[in-house]
Amino acid sequence: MKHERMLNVIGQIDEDLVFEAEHIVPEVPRRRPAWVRVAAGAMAFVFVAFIGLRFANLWSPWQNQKKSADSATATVEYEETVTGEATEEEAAPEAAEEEAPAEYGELEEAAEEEATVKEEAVEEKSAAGFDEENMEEEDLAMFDELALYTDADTYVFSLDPEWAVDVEDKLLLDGTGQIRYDFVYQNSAIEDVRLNDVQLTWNQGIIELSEGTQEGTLTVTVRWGSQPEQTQILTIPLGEE
Amino acid sequence: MEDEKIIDLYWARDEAAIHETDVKYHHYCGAIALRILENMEDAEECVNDTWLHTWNAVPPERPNILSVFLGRITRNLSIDRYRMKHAARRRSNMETVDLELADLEGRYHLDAQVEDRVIARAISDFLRQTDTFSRILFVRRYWYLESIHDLAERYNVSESKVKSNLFRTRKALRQHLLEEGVSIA
Repeated sequence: MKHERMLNVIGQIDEDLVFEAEHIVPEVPRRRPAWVRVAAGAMAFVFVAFIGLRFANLWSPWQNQKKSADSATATVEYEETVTGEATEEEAAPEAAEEEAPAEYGELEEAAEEEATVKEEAVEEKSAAGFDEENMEEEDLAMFDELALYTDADTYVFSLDPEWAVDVEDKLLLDGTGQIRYDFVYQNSAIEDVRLNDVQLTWNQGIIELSEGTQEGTLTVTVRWGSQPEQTQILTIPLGEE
Repeated sequence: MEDEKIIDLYWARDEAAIHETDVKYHHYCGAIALRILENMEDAEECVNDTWLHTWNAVPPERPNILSVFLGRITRNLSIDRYRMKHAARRRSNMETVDLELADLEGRYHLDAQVEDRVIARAISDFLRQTDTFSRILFVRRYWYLESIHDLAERYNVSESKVKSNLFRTRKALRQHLLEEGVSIA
C-alpha cells in the first residue's frame, strides 16, 4: 500500500475523531516534577557508584570491620610469636574473629603497649647487663624465661628458641656453693643438671654444687612439656669472667 | 450561522450557503490547506475549490459535522495539489508526513476487496482505544497535517515527545491493522 493511499485513508477516519482533535484539548501526560527526577537521578548515581566501587574493591561499608578482624588476627599471631604461649584466641580463632571488630581498639592498644614494654624490657636488660635489680618478674614472665641466678649474677635464657635474647652472660658464683633457680614458666622442671658431666642434685629451687668444684660447664636440661621436643639444654660456663 | 442552517441552504441550492460557509470556515479550511501547501496563494485556491466541491456534493450528501466535511475536502484537494506541484521537491512538512506513514505501508498489502473505507474504520477503531492525547496527536498530525513543531508548541511539550508518541502510535496501529486481517506482504 502506498503511503499516499494511507494518507488518503486516514483522511476518511470517523468525523467525530477529527472533530475531537479540533475542539478538545487533551490532558497532556506531564513528566514527573523536577525534584523527583533529580532525586531519582541522584539515587541512581549513588547506586551505580556503590556497585562500581564494590566490584572494583575500592570501598566497602564493611571494610572497617574486615580490617578490624584482620588486625585482630594479626595481633593474635603476633602475641603467639612473641610469647610462644597458646591463647584463647588460638584455641578458638573463629570466635576471636567474630569478637575482633568490637575489641579491635582494645586489642590494638594492648598490643602496642605490650610491644613497647617488651622493647623497653629488652633495652633495659641490654643496658643493665641483666642486672637482677632490673629484671622484673613480669618481664621474665613476659618472655617466658627460665632464670637461673646466684646472688652475684644472673644467667638469663629463653625456653622458646624462636625468641632469642641476644645477650649471653656467665653465671658467677658467690662461693656459697649453691645456684638458685626459679622457673617462671609453671610447667617447667629441671630434668637433669650436670657440672663437667657430673650429675648434681637439685631440689626446691636450689642446685647444689659439689664442694671445690665451682668452675667448668654447667649443663641444665629443662623440660616445659610432655613432648620429647619440649626440652632445652642450657650450657652455662661457670667461674670465669 | 449554525451548521444545520448552512446545510439547509445548500440543500435549498441557495448560493448564500457558500458565503456563510466562507464566513464561518474560511480560517479553518485555510489553515488546513496552508499546512499542506505552505503557500498562501495555493491555499486560497484550495479553499475556494472546497466551496465549489461542497456545492456539488451537497446535496445529495448531508454532512453530519460540517467542519469536518469541509476540512476533509480541503485536505484532499490540498494533498492533490501538493503532489502535483511538488513531485520533485522533498522535505516539506507533507513529505515528512509521507515518510512517517511509510511505517504503515509496504510491510503488508491489502486484499483487493478491502476498501479504503474499511481500513479507515479499522484505524478509527484503533484510535478510539488509544489515550486521548495520543489519539488527538495522531489526528492532528496525519489528518490536519500539523507540523511536529506546531504540535509541540500547541501542547507545550518537546518535539521529541511528540515524535516518540507518534512513533509508538504508528507502531501499535500497524499491529492493529495486521490483527484486523491485513496480510503481511
